[in-house]
Amino acid sequence: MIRDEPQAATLLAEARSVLSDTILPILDPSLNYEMHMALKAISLAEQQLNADAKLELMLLEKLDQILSGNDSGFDQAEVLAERIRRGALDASVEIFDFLDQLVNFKFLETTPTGE
Amino acid sequence: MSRIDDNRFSLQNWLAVATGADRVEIINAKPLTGGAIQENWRLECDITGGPNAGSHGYVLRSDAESIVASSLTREQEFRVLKAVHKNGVTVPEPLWLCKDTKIIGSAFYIMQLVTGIGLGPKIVKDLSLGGDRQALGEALGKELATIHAIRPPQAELEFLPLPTGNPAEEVIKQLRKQLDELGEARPILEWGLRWAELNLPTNPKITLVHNDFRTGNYLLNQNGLTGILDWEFAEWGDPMSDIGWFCAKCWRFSRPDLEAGGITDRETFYKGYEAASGQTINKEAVSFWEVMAHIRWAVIALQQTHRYMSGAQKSLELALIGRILPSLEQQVLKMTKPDNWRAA
Repeated sequence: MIRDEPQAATLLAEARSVLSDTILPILDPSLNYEMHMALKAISLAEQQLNADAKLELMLLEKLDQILSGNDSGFDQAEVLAERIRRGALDASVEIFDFLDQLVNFKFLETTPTGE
Repeated sequence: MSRIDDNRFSLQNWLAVATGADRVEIINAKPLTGGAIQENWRLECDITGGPNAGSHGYVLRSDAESIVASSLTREQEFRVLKAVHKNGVTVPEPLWLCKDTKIIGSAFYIMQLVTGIGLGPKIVKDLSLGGDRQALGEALGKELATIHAIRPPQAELEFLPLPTGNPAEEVIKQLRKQLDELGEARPILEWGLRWAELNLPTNPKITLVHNDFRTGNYLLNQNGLTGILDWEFAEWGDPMSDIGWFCAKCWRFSRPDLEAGGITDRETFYKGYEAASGQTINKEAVSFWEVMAHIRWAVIALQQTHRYMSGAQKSLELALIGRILPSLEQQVLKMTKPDNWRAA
């Protein structure tokens, strides 16, 4: 283990709990909206830190495979977007499944847990 | 000090001329929330002399100091508001237009003050607002039909360009252009746009469309609808696009089960629309425009994220907006599965 404990996600969870359990109940109600926004931001950052790095890597590998080892020098997402736009991948089940996995991965990261 | 405070004297003088009064005093000027592109001010005025003598509440609407492109000018918006008000749409009555930018620093217009709650998440949750929800759903359908009853040509709306082809094709082109300008590849949005290109609605009618008709852009009091707001994106287009935008899942807030704007079921809203318009809703076209609604909202969210990332505007709200993209993209994919594509 290179980093010392507690790690970033744990620190954020702790800070979020202090804000929501201790500060929010006594906060001037006119600042509730701002506090909820801040709690949401912390929660999203936690989700991102806890995201499965292996899954991210797997998605990148799959994209490389779909693009048959694209070596055009362009960003992989850019190449995929361009091929979709020009109609080279219309109604492709393989592409749809990949996009579905991609969006589900991102969706998990953006669903706050405990605000 | 706001620019209304800074220019109170010249605004009072202008109001006196506009209202035909001897004198106008602004007793209170308060900014209203909900305008990122436009500024709205609630003005409480005491008018002495002339046909409008007495105490009045007005709303002043002007460009915000940082103008975001792609919306009507205040003069054009005023003229749209006049046209829809004349046709019986429930809107705040537009009263006077000021094109002189020297009065408060930009063009503005004055409309009658209409009170009510407009915040979308609150409206769908708080059932004490809007009266009976079935009746409200039907009323909203009727309002939209009244907007769509305005067909081109209209002399007072000559500044609105007529679509040269299928409006959906034009929207696809604009969204692709906006994505290119952002310089960020979004394969899922491209997937949705390509699907749209192959699934265009056929033979759309052309009517006036509000183009942002959704929960959050109208006001409710305890009894019902008090005013439809935010006409800055109005244009000639396919009327089914307004129905798709209103029913899109992203505008139902915490009530995704109530498919008509989080207010009521789709059938009730359609019933109000069809009864008032005498037209049958093209459900396939509505479904197409719901896909487009999610793509359009995603592109707007991306533009706002870029605005934050560029440092042009610092705001936590703006920083968080990009996080809604996965839910919008998920919805695009749900509606454009491979077995739902027409052959190229």
